[in-house]
Formats: sequence, C-alpha cells, structure tokens
Amino acid sequence: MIEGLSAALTFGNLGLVLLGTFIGIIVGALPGLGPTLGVSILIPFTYGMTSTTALILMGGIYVGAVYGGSITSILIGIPGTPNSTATVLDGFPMAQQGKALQALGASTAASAFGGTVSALCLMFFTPLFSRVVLKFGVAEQFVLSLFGLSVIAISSKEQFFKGLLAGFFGLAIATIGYDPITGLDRFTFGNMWLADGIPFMSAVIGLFGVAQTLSLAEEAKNIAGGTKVTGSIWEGIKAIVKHPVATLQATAMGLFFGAVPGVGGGPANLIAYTSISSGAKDRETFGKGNVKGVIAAEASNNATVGTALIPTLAFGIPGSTVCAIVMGLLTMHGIDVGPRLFTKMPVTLYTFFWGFLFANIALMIVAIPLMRIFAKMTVLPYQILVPNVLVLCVLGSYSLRGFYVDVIITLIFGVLGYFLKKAKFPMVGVVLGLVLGKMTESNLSRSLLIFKGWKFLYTRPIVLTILILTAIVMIIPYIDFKKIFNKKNR
Amino acid sequence: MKKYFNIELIMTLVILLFIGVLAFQGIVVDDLSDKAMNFPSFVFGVGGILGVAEIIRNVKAVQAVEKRSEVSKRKSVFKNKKNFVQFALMTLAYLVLLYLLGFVIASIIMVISYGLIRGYEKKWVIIVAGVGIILLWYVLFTKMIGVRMLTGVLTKGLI
Repeated sequence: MIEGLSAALTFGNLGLVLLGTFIGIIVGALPGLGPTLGVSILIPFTYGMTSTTALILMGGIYVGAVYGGSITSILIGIPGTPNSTATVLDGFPMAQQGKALQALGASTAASAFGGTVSALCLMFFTPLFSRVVLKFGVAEQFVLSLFGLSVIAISSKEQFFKGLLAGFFGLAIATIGYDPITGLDRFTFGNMWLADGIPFMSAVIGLFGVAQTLSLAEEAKNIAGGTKVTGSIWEGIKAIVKHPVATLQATAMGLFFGAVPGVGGGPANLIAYTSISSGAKDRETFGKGNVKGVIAAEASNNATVGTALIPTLAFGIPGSTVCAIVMGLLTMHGIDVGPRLFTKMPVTLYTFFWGFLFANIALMIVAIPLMRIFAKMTVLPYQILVPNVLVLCVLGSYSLRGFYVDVIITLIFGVLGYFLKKAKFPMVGVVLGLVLGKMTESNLSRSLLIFKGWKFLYTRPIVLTILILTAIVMIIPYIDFKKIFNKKNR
Repeated sequence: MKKYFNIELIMTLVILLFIGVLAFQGIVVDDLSDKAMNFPSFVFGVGGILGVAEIIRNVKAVQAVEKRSEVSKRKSVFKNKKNFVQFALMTLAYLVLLYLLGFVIASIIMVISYGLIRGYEKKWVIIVAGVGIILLWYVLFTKMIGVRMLTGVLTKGLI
C-alpha cells in the first residue's frame, strides 16, 4: 500500500489524474455519452502506456464522467448520465431560482465525498465487501429491486395512487422488447427497432430534457427565470457539512448498491434520493430546489463507483458495462482479475486505488473553476438556449445507438413528460419503473426457475430480511406516531 | 361530464390506454406464452387497478370542490398556448428536416429560425452562435469522440 502511494504521488501521475478527471467531466456532461463511452474511448490510447498510467487515467475519466452528468442535470435539466437522473429533481429547480452555483457546489462536494469514501472502501474493505457480495444471488437481487420499487409508494404519500401508477407505467414501458427468459419479442408491433426495448437514456432525455424545453419555450423565459445567478459555490460545498445525515445516508446506500452486481448508479441515485426525501421532515420542499436532494443524488451516485469495482476485481464479475470495460482494460495490461489479484500485483493495484482516491479529490480542484462559466448558461436568453438544448437532446439520444428512431422516441417521451408534469405525476416513479423493470423481471424469472417456486421468499434469510425492511419502509410513513404517543400519554 | 375532464384524468386515461394496447397485443394478437406474459400481466393488472383508483379519486376531488361551492374555474393546461404550439410545430418540422437534411443543416436552421421568430434583437448573435455551436458539436462528437452524426436522405455523403 505504501509503495502504491509513493508510485501514485509522482508529478506525472498526479497530472494524469487531473487530465483524466477533466476529460471525464466533459464526457459525462454531454447527454448520451457518459462513463461507458469515456472509458472505452481511452482504450486504444493506452496501448503504448504502462499499466499504472493507463489505470490512473481510466480512474480519473471514470470518476469525472460519473460526476459530469450532474452539470447538465442542474443547469439545463437533462441528465448527462443515467446516474444523474435524480439530480435533476432538485438541482434544476435550484438553477431556476438563480442558485445554480450553490447546486453545483453541493453536487461537487457530495460527489467528492461519496467517491472518496467509496475509494477508501475499495482500498481497505474489499475482502469484507466481497464476502457480503458472494451472498447476493438472483433472489436477493430480485427483492432489492422490490425494495427500490417500494420507495415509489413512500415518495408519493400525498398522491399514493398517482405515484404508484407512474411506477407501474414505467414498468409497463420496460416490458417492451425481448423477454429476458424466453427471448421472445414482446409488444414490438413487428418493429425491429423496439426489439431491444425502449432505450433508457432516450426516454430519460425526453422525459426531462425535451419536456423542459417545451416548458421554457411556453413560458418564454431563461432557466433562471430572469433572475441573476445568486448564491455561492461555497454555500453549496458547506451544505454537505450542514446536512450530515443526508450525506452519510446517501453515501451508505450508494456503497451498498454499488457492490451488488447488476444494480449500479442508475437505480442507486433514484432510490437514495426517494428514500431520503420521503423520510425528511421538510419532505414537501423536495423537488422544489432543496439542496439535500442534490446531495442525496450525487453522494450515492459517486459512492457506487468504487464498490462497483469490488466484484469486478475480486471475482471477475463486472457489475455494470463500465466495469466490464475496466476489466477488459486490466486484462489488456496483463492484470488478471480474481481472488489472487491482491497477492500477484499489489503495487500496481494499490497505485490504481490511490489514483482513484486522488481523482475524487481532484473533482473539487478541476470542477470549481469551471462552475462560474457553466452557471452562466442559466441566464442565457431563452431564444438562444431553448433550441440549443433541444439540439443537444437530439444529439445525446442519437449518439447512443446511431438510430434515427431513438430521436423520435426521445421527442415522444418529451411530449409525454411535459403533460405528465402538468398532471403532477411524479417523474421519479416513471424512471424508477423504467430502470428496475427488466432487472426485476429477469431476477424473478430466474429465481422461480432455480428455486422451483416461491419458497425462496421465506427460506433465504437475506431475502426475508429485505422483504421485512421493505414492508416496514412502506408502512412507516402512514403511521402517525404523534397520535399514538399522545393516546398512550392520556 | 366536461367538468371532470382535467389534465390529470386525461393522462390517467392515456396510461390506461397504453396498458390496454400492450395487453391486447400480447394476449390476443401475438398470443404470447404464459412464461412471457407472467410479469407483464402482473404489471398491467396492478396498473389497471391503480388507474381506476386514480380516476375515482380524481372524480371525488372534483365533486368535493363543487360541494364546497368553490368556483371551480377550469385552469387552462397551458400558460401560453401560442408559444407551446409554435415550438411544438417547429420541433416537428425539425424532426422532418433531420431525416431529410441531416443533423448539421437541420440544427442550424432550427436554432437560427427559432431565435429570429422569437424576436431576439441581435440577429447576428443568433446566426453566429447558431452556426458556431452546431459546428462545435460536430467537431467534438465526430472528430474527437468518434460518434457518427445523423446524415440526411438528401445530403448523404455531403456531411
């Protein structure tokens, strides 16, 4: 570990950390690109590099890209990556109130905090986490998805039916495409473009980005609504200290969901956001520019990054597409993942871990000078901003698969999102349903096949524990504890 | 009856219609196997019940407002219908132009025409910013990141 630290603390490697983080932020900020593309673009450039250099650069790009999605989420209401979807919910309203700098400051600090804790877990607790990860099979992943879906119910206490209907609408959309078990095409109407289902990012860019441009065009005002950009970056950074419970809770959730293969940052930031917002005393202010919403989304999001690498490094099981690419890069540089990795190449590995940790700290150094420039976007005249945001949505959607039909899907979801918002349907429910749908179905089908029925629900202790927790989480918001305690006192 | 038709009810009906169409497609048209329809049937069933429950809640809410003799002035869905329709039509035209002329030309036309139609004073800023930003995306995405741009049917090979 000490040798790894001294290898990482060279000017060259620290410079690479800064460069990688900067490139990652730009890639992550552009909708439709994200960490997967950022890391995969890097691969050909690393052929001539040493393994340490390549890994440090990759770590910087990965961390920067995961954070970078929050920039467009906050400034123009388009999630740059699936991991930044929840950031839109409070980040963009803050920008609309002229508090873009505060939102950016909070997201940077929360990302740096969550990512740093995650990197430390990766470094010191990989053996512990890997023992826990081994116990999570398809049955456990299924009930985790159920837990994720249950937060839709608690997030919409006041509009119970509407919130759940939004979630089931998202689930219904997620059933379009191939059946994960039989492989049959479902609900494609004979259209080959729908064989892979509705692309998640195209739908999300539409629901948030295009819907937002329709609103801005209708109201004929810029994002900040004619107000100046107020608030300071430092207020945002201090917010993670002012709200330690939200920061720590979100980080813990991100660490956990990141380590479970197949979950990752996409669902993690939504589930963390919804759990924290539903349990907060000021829950009615969430979705209207509460800085805790930004902290919850970003801390959990970046906390998944380090722990997602644990099953990849310890067992060679990539938990996400990015992790699969990371594994490919490691193999290319002669690093064989698996249980013996920590004994075979400890110096290289720990140099990578230290570089990864420094990349999370570098976020603050690289992002803060750029924030004032980025924040000016919110006061651009709407006549320039609105069509350019629409163009960016189209570009982001098209760049995912290179299909024109994805652009049409984005625009359809844009109109849908616009009217759903008018009808006060919670967008977080639709998105949670979309992101968890295929995962829930495939894990359920596999569980039923493996365990020959439903008995896994009561014979596996972890499954039972998560189910009980899910039931408690769903019931608690509806229990009036004050009434019960007052009755008891009388 | 008209008083019950607010945007919340309409969107609930849209969701129910969507679920109904998928269910019809799966059960009647494609005649999918039980295995393939297990999870969707659960989702459609629960979604249908929730939709009906939401419709009932909505109707009761309207009736409650009437009972309180409040002036239930139907609020318009749009804050400014003209602006919305104008932008929606321009977006549709943009979609068609994308197919015919490709990303670069269609986007330049969209950005410049919207700015001019909405009456931004400095016309030269609209034109320069429009062309400049689109060309920046083109260079960034195609030359630096290697993402292929959408080419139009009429401009294949040009850009």
